[in-house]
Amino acid sequence: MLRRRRLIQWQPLEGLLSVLNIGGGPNPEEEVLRSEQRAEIEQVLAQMPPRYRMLLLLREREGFSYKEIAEITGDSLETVKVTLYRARERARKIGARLQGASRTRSEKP
Amino acid sequence: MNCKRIRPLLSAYHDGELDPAQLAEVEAHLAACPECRRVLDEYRALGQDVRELPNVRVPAEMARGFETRLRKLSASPWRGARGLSLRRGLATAAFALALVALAFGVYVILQRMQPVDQIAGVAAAYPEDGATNVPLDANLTITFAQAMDRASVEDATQITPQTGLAFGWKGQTLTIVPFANWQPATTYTLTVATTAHTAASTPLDEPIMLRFTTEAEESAGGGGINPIGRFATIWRAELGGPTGTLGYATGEVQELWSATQPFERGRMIWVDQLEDDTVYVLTHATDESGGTWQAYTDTFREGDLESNDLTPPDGLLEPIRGFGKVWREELDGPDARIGWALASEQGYIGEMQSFEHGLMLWDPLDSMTYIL
Repeated sequence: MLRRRRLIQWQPLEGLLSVLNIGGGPNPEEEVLRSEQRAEIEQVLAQMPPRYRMLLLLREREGFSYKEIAEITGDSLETVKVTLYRARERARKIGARLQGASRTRSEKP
Repeated sequence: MNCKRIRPLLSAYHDGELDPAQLAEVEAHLAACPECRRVLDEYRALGQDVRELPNVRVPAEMARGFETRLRKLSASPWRGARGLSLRRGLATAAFALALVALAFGVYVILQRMQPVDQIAGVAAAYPEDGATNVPLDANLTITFAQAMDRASVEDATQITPQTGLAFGWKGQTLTIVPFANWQPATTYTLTVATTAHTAASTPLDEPIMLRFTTEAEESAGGGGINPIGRFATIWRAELGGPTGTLGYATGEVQELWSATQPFERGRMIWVDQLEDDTVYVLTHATDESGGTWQAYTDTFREGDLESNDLTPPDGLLEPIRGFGKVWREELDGPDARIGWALASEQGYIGEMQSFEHGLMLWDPLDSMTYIL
């Protein structure tokens, strides 16, 4: 109940989410939870600086090593390391803010 | 407070990119620190969420240009030449990446190319080779001298810095539309390789190369960066903007692990810059009209003497660790102009932006912005 309500509170970012293909699943309960998580991670990514986002995707989604990322972006290994650290800290902060905002809004009638 | 040093390493630990010494240090700390374990769990959850994002659907009008670009990616020579060994098939990785990149507006630089310097087989082009002040929303057009095989031209077209392109044709004229506006004050190089051929299968005699430079953003003439976010208002309203005290920003806003400690006549701020942590010492002037600041490199390392066990006057504190070291070694300790500490240090994630003539620091604990 709460979960559904919270889902309704999420405001998708215009323009970005329109190109995302959010597929249907067999289990409606799970699907609610999963699309809720997706909505959140999409918002987190959307609010990050492009460079942070790019490195995070190269690392976590594409599985490139620091060395490979450095080759691709032309950065030093140290820069890749530092930027990924900052990207993750930023993601944590945005995530916490989104959760806080969602709770606040859910409490209102 | 060992967390301060460990936290930046946690990210690389999660990625399996620490050397053995750091690895041992981090694991020992994790065993003893639930807070850092929680942060590590959050890093893991973030990675999981990012990997589970569904693939993205490309809007139809962009798809054509994308297919072309992906074919180029999988055929480009840099792989072997640069000796990269990729975990998965490059085409697959590049495909997924390019799709994700498009959806999130990321520019991906995956190609290096050989410059060429003549235009043959072209009747007209906009912008002209060497053009400057090209509008940020300009489309490029190339009118070929003959009817071309369109797919071969699109396949042979590359641009650096790498930018998503869509192609449109009218007769012998090719219009190239960037997915997003060009970056301001940037020199782009568009090339069409000799694998492009005419409708009659005659290849181009020579590669086509167009080099053009985009206009600087209107408000940031001279190629400087305008600050955005929390620093922008102060920069414009209080500091006179680009012609004021600080000039243009020289980099993005960075979030940095920081700490601060108030003193009788000033404040110390420590900023984690990974290689050279910095301690900023802000000291009030005698007449309270203003003050001075000085930056010191934080040379404190774990294991160093934390304090001198001095006896401060009632209600005051001796600064310890990094602050203490600067206070004792650079500021004459108890005789320091800045005085004794009023309270113990507090850590936070602050923000910092560098400018041509200084920097701005934001401290969320006191909601204070410092201009140095």
